Amino acid sequence: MDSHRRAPATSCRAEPTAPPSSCFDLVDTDFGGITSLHRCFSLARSAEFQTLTIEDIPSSGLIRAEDDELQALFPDHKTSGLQRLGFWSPAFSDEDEIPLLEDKHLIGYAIVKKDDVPSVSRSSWHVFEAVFRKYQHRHNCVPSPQRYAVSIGGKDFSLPGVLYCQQNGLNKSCAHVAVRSLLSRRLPESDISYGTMNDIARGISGPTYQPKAGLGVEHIREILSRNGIPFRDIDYLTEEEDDPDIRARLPFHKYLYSGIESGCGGLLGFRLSGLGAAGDEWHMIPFYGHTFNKDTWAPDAERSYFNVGGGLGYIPSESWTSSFLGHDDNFGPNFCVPRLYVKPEHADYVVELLADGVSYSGVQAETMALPFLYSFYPRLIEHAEEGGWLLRLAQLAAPKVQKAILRTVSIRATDYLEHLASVSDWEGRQEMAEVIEILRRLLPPMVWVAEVSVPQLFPANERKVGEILLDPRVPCDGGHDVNYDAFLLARVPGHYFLVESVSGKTPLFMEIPSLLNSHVPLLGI
Amino acid sequence: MSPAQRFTSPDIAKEMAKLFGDRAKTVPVEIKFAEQAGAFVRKIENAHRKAAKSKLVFKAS
Repeated sequence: MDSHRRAPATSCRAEPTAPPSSCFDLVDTDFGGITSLHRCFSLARSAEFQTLTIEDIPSSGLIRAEDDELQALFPDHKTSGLQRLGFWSPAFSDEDEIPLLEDKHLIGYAIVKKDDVPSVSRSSWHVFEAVFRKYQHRHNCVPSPQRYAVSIGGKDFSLPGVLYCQQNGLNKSCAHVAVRSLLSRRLPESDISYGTMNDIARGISGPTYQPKAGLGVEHIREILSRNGIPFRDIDYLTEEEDDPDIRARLPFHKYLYSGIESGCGGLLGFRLSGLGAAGDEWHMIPFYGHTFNKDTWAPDAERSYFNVGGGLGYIPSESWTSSFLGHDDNFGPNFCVPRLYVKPEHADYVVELLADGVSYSGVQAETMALPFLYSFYPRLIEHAEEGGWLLRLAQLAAPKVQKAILRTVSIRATDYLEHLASVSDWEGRQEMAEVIEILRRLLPPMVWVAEVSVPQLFPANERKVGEILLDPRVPCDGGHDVNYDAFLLARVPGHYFLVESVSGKTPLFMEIPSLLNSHVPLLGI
Repeated sequence: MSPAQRFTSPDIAKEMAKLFGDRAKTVPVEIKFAEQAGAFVRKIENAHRKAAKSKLVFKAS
């Protein structure tokens, strides 16, 4: 599926980008001044690129498939331009030097394509795809970044990032390219063709389906399902017919944050409202990362407390997120979109993508963990003489206080155990190897980990005082208020809790010691 | 998920009891906020099911 990225070029040249070379002139003159490509050059300039390589490439792989589809849709279609641009940190002026370069020298690449369709008066460039490294600040978080293989100057390079793609108004819309961006991170073939998506849409809407009309929710759900991608979504327009407060009770950003933290990402569909918006028109963009602002004021304000309902709540780790990282196909890749910029009344659809083998949302997992956390309070108080972090947690996770912070991610059990085996508490103690060995044998392949922390410790130290593990495979059928089948364990300073029996009126838990007596680092994903 | 694939907390508890002997204590824990959490979890699941009927289409350029 990456043959279009690795196609041998028919011509290649290297151009230094030092002044007086002008990126603006190049994009305006050679590529019709398209905004998305200006954004690519801006990213490259910000990363201080010193050389641009320009290759003419043949139509192959996914691009060949697109051309075939366009030919069927528009018999007079012709691809009149196809170039692969490479953005490099070292300065060089001879393409023969490319074989001497390494992966670390490649800032990004873009494949730009010009489609001519005289019958619909269309002749324009668009960015078929591009990948750029993320901004290097450590608080610019992109969990589980993918690497993309691209050939430039006859040499293969590997570039970390998230695929950006742009619609062309012919065979792909904003929704097509948003879905492809996120699916390219996880499909075994690492990509999906627009023709495949359109075939699925035709299977639902019939042979008259026109790709330029966009993708509907039913199409997107089927594309995800056919590719084995579990997800949870919500259509706020449908839902608010029964619950007028749904946008506040289940805010879209909780779904997005949950998908992002687990490395899967999320899709946001929102109604356009700006200048020139034509009535009921919806746009879709993909999100894959977030910023982390340890000094943000928001969590100290009352509004950061998330109210599940009926007096149950907590402080979500999302409160320290200032912006989501995503692409907007109209404007280009790797934007920071302020978390609360899209007004809830305009966000009409959201999708949280889930990891393989996960059958319920991170928002659900976080909520399922809460009753356990607050119900252990009497046990924490009984151990209050141990003082220190157990006592601090007891005070903040008291049912009437509820100032615990939860950060919930789905990961492989092996990754969790590697984390548990490697961390030390503040005094340098590590967990017993025998405990980790038992968990290695008895945990399911994937786990939801609801990390528990407290104010100040979480943002400043990026550390936690415990976690609650849930089995992500247990169906969330809603048959019971508390699903004991999903509960795996809880760890707090000095102790673990495990379910022993739920046959009686009051469930019995087993309490065993932990050598981790204070706080440990958060999971790094 | 087949029964053979089940991984449950009681299974882990049994193994931990063997490791820790009388340092493993059985304690009753009354679960609080069960109803509230259950209702919220079901709400998300119901919303997901209802989204199957959505008529929204995304095509803005």
